[in-house]
Amino acid sequence: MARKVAIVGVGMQKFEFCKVETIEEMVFDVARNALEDARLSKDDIDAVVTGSAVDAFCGIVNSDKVATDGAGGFLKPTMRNSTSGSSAVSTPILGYNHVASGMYDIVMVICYEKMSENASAQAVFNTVYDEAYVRPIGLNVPIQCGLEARAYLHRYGLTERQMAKVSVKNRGNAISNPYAQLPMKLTVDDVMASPYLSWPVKLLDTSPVTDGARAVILASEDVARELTDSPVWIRGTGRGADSVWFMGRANPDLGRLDYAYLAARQAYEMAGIKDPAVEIDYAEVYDPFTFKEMQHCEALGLCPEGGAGRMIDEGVSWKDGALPVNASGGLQGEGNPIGAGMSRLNWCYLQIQGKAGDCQVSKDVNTAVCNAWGGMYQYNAVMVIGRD
Amino acid sequence: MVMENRVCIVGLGVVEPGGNTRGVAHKELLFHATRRALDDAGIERELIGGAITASSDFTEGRSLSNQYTLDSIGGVMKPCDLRLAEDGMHALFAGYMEVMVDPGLLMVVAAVQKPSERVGRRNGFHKILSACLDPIYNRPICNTVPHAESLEAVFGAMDARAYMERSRVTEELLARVAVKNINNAAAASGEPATAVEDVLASSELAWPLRDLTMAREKDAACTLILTSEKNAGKLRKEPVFISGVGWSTEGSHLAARSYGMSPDTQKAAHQAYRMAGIRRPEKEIDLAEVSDWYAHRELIHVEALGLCDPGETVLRIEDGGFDREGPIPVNVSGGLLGKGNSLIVSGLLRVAEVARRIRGDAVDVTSRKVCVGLAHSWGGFISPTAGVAVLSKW
Amino acid sequence: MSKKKPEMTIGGTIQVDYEWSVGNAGERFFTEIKDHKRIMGARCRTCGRVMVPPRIFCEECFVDAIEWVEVEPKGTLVTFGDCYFSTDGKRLDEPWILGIVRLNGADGGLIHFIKEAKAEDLKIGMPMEIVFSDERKGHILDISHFRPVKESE
Repeated sequence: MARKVAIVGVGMQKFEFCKVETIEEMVFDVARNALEDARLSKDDIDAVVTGSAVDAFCGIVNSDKVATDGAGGFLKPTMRNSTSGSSAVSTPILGYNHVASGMYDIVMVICYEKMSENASAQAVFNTVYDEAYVRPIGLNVPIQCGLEARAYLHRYGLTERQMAKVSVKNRGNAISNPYAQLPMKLTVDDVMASPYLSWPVKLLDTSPVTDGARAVILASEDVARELTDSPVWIRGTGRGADSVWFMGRANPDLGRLDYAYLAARQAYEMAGIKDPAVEIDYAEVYDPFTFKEMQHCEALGLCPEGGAGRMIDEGVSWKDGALPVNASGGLQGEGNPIGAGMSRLNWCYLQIQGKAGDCQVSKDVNTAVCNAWGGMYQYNAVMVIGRD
Repeated sequence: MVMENRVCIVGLGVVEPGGNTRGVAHKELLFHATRRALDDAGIERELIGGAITASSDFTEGRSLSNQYTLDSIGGVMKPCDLRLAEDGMHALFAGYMEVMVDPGLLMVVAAVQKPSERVGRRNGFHKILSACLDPIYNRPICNTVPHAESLEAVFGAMDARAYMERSRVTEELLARVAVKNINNAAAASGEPATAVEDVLASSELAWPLRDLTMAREKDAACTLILTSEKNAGKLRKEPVFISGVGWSTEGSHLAARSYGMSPDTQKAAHQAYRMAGIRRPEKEIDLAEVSDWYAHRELIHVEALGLCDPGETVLRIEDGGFDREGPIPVNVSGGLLGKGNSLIVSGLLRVAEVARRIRGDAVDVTSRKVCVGLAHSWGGFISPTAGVAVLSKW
Repeated sequence: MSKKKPEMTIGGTIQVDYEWSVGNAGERFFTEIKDHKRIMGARCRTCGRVMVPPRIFCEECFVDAIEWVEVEPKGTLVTFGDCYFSTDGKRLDEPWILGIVRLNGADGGLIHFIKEAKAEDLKIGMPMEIVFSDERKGHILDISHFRPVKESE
């Protein structure tokens, strides 16, 4: 049966548009920070789990292998996870399995992405699409999101102004985050006036291209209790995936993320959470685009289905609201180095520990949830963490 | 490590390397393997609890390559997890851990490769190889060698030279390893036998690597179904137990690597043996399928796995110790040299092969009884990561 | 750490060429479009859903028992997106439009260009039709684009 698993340290670094450091250097930086945070040394690490999205971003095939030394993985068991964007949470879930299965006691989880070094991130994204049916048409990310956002707003009657508020909230929150790439003080009108990429998605509804890495150290119960008096446990994990044929699935409506609901249900069942809107104190929700935060808040049960517009209108998800979402700034404000979106988990941990600095929310945080999304409208991964 | 729960293989499906795959899409290849595995286990898709694939973007020419295989492994609206750029055996390890965490799960682990879709000589593999390299110190040099196509052979040769230097293994003995594996594969398919002279006469790519001592890429797909011992009782097939697993990765920098040896294999084996309670692998293991990407790598791996004392390797080859009828048959299937290298799929294929031998349903039923078998995978020079799985009948 | 681009960089490209198989299902699908301007779907003999794009297996039932059925080159607009960026990231003055159209007689559809209409003329759920290219060679671009079905029809 599954062993209890705790988070015992996190490694942060500043997210930037273009980092001077190589992948190896970036990874080393966060690995060392996490070891210091957990008061452990490299030799204490039994196994390393890495996550990043697409090798074509950094132009190195099997890019995890150039990160091995920096992660402290030399001649250790290493394993790479990749579910595109959702690697951000499915990678720590893989790390959780390393410990919960009884295989290892202390595991380093590292997520990284270096996106600045290719000539066109758009051209890279095009290689993600099906070669026979989609790639020749030249689908790109703005339009991919336009297709989905339009279906979502249409299905639930939500508005562009509600989307804009998410951007205002998250970029504003990022002002308190020392690691953030894109803190901005904005108004809804600023967002509404920014140029369209694909209706209803505007420039300020999106997240930037980012270089960066994050680390998390996981430990078994015995080890965690030795290291700390206040362990933060991984209480629930969930994953969901839907067909690659997004234009011919059993559920054709791109507005409803069935696979995200599936992932959330698993995670909550495992954590014994029945009413997430009440039992979850804090959430870091995957927000590469403003409407994604709204869709994910619904799928995670933080508001009723279709209720994400009211949630933002009524201030529930603002930093001082009843259920703050992305007080760190999220991907919009902190930056979006795809795999290293694991930052969502890091911030949940920091909030529970009361170590979130100026991002710390005023309410008590005992239980937090984070999620990530990736693939051809395909994957979602959810993790619930909390104190005893 | 005390493991109260045991994980076993309850179904397997294979599209063998070297078959005719023209006109079949990789999604379709993998579907066939998975359908066979489900039929083998006697289950339907509803029962699948989770699915994992291993894949590699550039070998396929698709970024986020694993998203395409999700449908083909029965993973739609299931919890799915995906390995990238790892040997398929890593999918097995990840699946193993999933079942350890939740013994009620039926896990699908799978991989597919279709190198035949890459254009050019040797399917342009050298381009991928050079793209694996660190772009600052190594890649510029490797991109400008006079004949970039021989890049793989040059790497292989550096390694082989180092090994031959310390082991006294000659070119002729390497040829004997290749002959053993090629003929093992030929025996199953009824092709004519190859002689040592044929190998030595095959074209020299970079001394001592020759056309026939270096594996060629082939299309293949493989799916395994895993579950706990308790769950397996309800299923049709006699389970094959995974009694030990281990994996390890060597360092990032080419110049800092060890050549002519495999410390990653040693580490992986150490972990797997400890779990399986194996102290004397050379006595306890009945059969091994190890990575023979190059003929000399089979020997390096056999030594690193503790199946043969490094001082005795020459003697063992001369005595036919790794032959089909020898004390520890190695690569009875034909291995990569005999059947082809299906990169990411190769590791899983080795596991499937050993599982079949343990079940006794391998193609050539004449081979002896196997109770404990070992499957090994290796990721190549540029991705030096090794995996070991010990399988057993009980 | 500096915010500007590193001073020293090394350039390079990875150029690997591929010939991807469209598969057993794709061969039939694209041949029919090329030779007969017909859109074929694969009906799952178990659950009856008609898959477009076609597959040789139903990912829900997970069996490869399919039969080919013709579907209409018309359907309804599931969603659409207009975009001011080209696929290589260049800003455009006029947006281009992609749409997903669920074809009549199928449980799926295709994603393709929408032309002969502006974004403001389009509505989710409206009827659309396929316009085939004059020159066809067994490729997704044998379909030129989708357009709204004319009122009179």
